[in-house]
Parts: sequence; C-alpha cells; structure tokens
Amino acid sequence: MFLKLLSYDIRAGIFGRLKSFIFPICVYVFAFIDYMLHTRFYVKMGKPPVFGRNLGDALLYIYGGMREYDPTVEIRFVFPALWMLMYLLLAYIVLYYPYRDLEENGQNILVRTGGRGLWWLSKCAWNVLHVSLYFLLGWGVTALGCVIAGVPLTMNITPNVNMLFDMFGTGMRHPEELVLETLLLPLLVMAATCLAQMALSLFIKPIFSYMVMVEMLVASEYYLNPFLLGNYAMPIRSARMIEEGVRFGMGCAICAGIIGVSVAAGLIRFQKYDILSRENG
Amino acid sequence: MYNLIRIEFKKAFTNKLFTIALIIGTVIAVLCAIYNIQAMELEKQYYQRALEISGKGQNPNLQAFGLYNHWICQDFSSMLSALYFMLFPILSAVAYGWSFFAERKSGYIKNVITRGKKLEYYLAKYIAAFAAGGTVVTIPVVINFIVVACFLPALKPYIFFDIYYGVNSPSMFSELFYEQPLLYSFIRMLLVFLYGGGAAAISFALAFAVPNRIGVLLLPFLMCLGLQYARANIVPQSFMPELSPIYIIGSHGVHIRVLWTVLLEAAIAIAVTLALCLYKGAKEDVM
Repeated sequence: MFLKLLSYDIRAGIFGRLKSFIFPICVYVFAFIDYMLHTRFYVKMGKPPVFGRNLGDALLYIYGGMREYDPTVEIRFVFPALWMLMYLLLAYIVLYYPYRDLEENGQNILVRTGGRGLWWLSKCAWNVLHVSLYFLLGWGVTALGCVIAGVPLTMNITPNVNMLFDMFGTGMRHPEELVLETLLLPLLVMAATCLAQMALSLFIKPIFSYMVMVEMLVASEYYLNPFLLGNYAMPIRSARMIEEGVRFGMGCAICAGIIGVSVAAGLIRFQKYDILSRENG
Repeated sequence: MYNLIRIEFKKAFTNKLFTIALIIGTVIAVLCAIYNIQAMELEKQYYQRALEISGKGQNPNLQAFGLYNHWICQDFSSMLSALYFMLFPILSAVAYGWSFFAERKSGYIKNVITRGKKLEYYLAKYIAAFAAGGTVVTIPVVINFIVVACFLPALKPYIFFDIYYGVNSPSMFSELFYEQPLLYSFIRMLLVFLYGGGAAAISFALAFAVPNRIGVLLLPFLMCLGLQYARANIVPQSFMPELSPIYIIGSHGVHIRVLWTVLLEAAIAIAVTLALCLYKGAKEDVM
C-alpha cells in the first residue's frame, strides 16, 4: 500500500508538476554562465595557470555559499543571492504539494487506505525524492554546460578555488577534498530542511514554516556554528576548507537526526490532524 | 466606493494574519534595536579604553555611535536587520495580499460584485492590500527608530565619518542625510511603506494567475530574491544603481541607492498591478 501511495505521489507530485522545474533549470543555467564569466580571468593567471576549470569547481561555485562573516573585519553583511535563491526555491516547490493533495484527492485516499501514517510516510518519501531530483537536475545541467563549454567533467576541485570566494591567506586547508561536501551534504541538508518544514507545517501555517526556514538560512550565513544547519550546505565552510569549519560527519549526523525527528513528529501529529477544517497557507 | 474601502480597510487591519505579521516584524525590529544599542555601548567603551591606554588623541568618534546610522534602515552589519528586510515581501503579502485570492476561491467575491460594481470592489481591495502591506512593514521600522532613539544620541552625521553611515555622495538624498537626518529617516520610512505596499500589490495581482495561496504569498519574495541575484550576478557591475528591493529599503547592498531607479521600480510594480486590477475589473467574468 505504501508503494502504491508513493507511486501516486511520484506521478502527481513530480511528473505532474514538471513545469515547476523550469525556473530552477533557468537558475542553474545562469549560475553556470556566471561561473564561466567569473573564472575567465583566473584561468589566465600564472604560467602555468594556477586555476583550472572543471565540473567539481563549477558545482562548488554554485553550492559554495559564502565565506565566514566577520563583523570586525567586513563592513557589510551581504548574503549570497545565488545560494539563497537555489535553496529557498526548492523549499517553496516542495511546500505546496502535500497541502494541495490533502485538499483534493488526499482525503479520498485517506478514507480508502485508512492509514494516515502511510500517507505521511509517502509524503516524506516524495519530499526526499523531490529534493534528490532537484539536485540531480542541477548536476545534470552543470555537466551539460561543461560539455558544451569544453570544461573537463572531473571532480578534481582546484586547490586555488578559494580565490573564487575571496578567501585568501592562511587557513585554507584541503579544498581539493571537498567532493563529498559539495555533492552529498547540500542534498542531505535540504532533505532535512524540507522535511522539517513539512512537519512544522502541521503545527503552524505553511507560510510561517517557510519563514522559519528563511530565518535558519540567514542565521547560518551570519554565524559559523555547527548547530546551524545551513552551514553544512556551504561547502566552503567545511573543516576541509577552513580550520574552524564544520565537519562532514557531524553534518550527516545532524541531518539524520532532523530527518528522523521530522518524520516521527509528523507521524504523531498527523494522527490527530483535522484534515477537513484546515485552511491552506 | 467609500463604503467598500471602509469595509476592506477594516478587514485588512483587524485580521489575524495582519496581527501575526506585525508581531513577527516588531519582534525582529526590537531585537535588532537591542542588539545595536548593546553593540554600540561596547564599542564606545572600547574606544574610550583605547584612548585612555594610548594617552593620545581626543577624538572619541562619537558620530560613529549615533541614532542615524544604527536604526534598522541604516544598519548594514547585523543579522537581524538583514533578516527583517529579507522577510519584508512575505510579511507584506501575509498582511492582506492573500485576501483577494481567498475571496475569489471561496466565491465570496460573487456576493460582493452582485451588490455593487466589480471595478470598485477590485480597487478597494487593491488599496486595502497596499495600505496593509505597507503598514505592516513600516510600523516595526518606526518602533525600531524610537527604541534606538531612546538610547543612542541623535548626533548630526559628519561627512568625514561616511564609512560608518553607508551614505556616500551619489546616494539619493545624501545631502539631506548630512543636513536634515531626521527628514532623511522619514523618507526612508516612506520608502519602506512604498515597497511593502508594492509587494502586497504584487501578491494581489498574482491572484489572477496563480492557482494556490502559497504561490500568492511567496512569489513576491522569490521575485525579490531573483532580482537580487540578477543585480549581483547578471547586471554588469559597471551599472552602479541598486536594483534589489531588499537592499533598496535596507542598507546591506554594495551598490548605490539612486532616486530614479528606486522610484522607477516602485512605479513599475504599482503601475503593472494596478493596470491588471483595472483591466480585470472591467473585463473579467467571475460568475
């Protein structure tokens, strides 16, 4: 029964909403073009050049985030527009479907299956699948851009990649080892974030749960703190990049914990949730 | 028309979501004020201690610790001011921008337009959404200004400390900032109202195109974010004026706030949404 529910959610929530991927594709395309333009000077510096382009660098540029903000050194707090847009767009896309489903066919399905728990678990699985698809799309678009531009499809992140983020001086550790932080951690963080957002929407209105996610991301940009989840979605704040950075293992553990708590909390809450008299949004 | 506007204003300013949005905005603004007051006290003590230890110099840099560069619209380094201006499109839309969509979906609109003129109803709704959206983001800003004014001196800005103000010569009304800072602050508050109202107007207009309430509430925010990304990464850096609404009404951007772009953006948002409202008010069949 769970698989039937999940296949319905995949058909209706992913294949039935393919138009919702158009804007993310545009964002990824612009981001790749931005990467090519941003690096066009660096690839000519030095003999031989100290900087080379590849798929790993492009992905790190797109998902990198911002360097640690030090208010005693930097005058303005300027948050990374690309990073925010990518993650908040994803959070918006996954926000609506569960509630639309509850308003439309979901009520019939709940009556027929008699299982609120299965409905909730199916939505959680849909959520994670959707997030994974979003990132696969990003990787695919970036890889395609690399093929078209003649950029090598390797994940050998350039040791001097810190130049792209204005991170100079001592403290740059091993940026060439950032592959897992670039590929896996942002996906895990967004899976945890979107699940937490979905679970929170059972307690407060979806719009306010979205605002909580915005606040979490802004706080993560401002503070380099291992307990602010957004830091793990910024590979350039990894301990492999800077000495006081966040650790991959701890990020995975926190994400797993948040996923577990979100699924469990939603499961408990949804058993008593009044699906007939709620308002959308 | 007057009755419709009166009813819509009452609905706008007494609904639960307006109150919640106002509370959220006020909490962030007051926390921002507290943070800035404490930060400035610490920095003032640091400078005085440094003067005592060095025994040199008699400039306590008092102009760096004044009201006019530490209220929320002039604060460019704290997280809370960044968060407030990041959330302003959502708060504006939540105040009353959703109501037109909700009334269309529920069918309430048919009860109203069968008893009056459709265009008048659309206009009344638009004006109420604009006013509520502008008000909900302006009141916290005013409260922040008042709270900061209770603790930090309203020292007239001094041109040689411009690095602490973020208002350089090409910025709009820069002369006013250094001559009449209170009037400048009032103009900044009006700008917040204008852009807050504009975000709510966009939310109103989206009701004609977007089939779900969450889209009506969040798309103005995503548009602002998209504009911010375009300003940072697509528009050539040689074009200096700031285009992101988040940075126009806040102070975190690195580009310059120029009058013609500020007014043009607001005018485009209001003109397009109002034109849509009038056109649909005349042509649309809601029955």
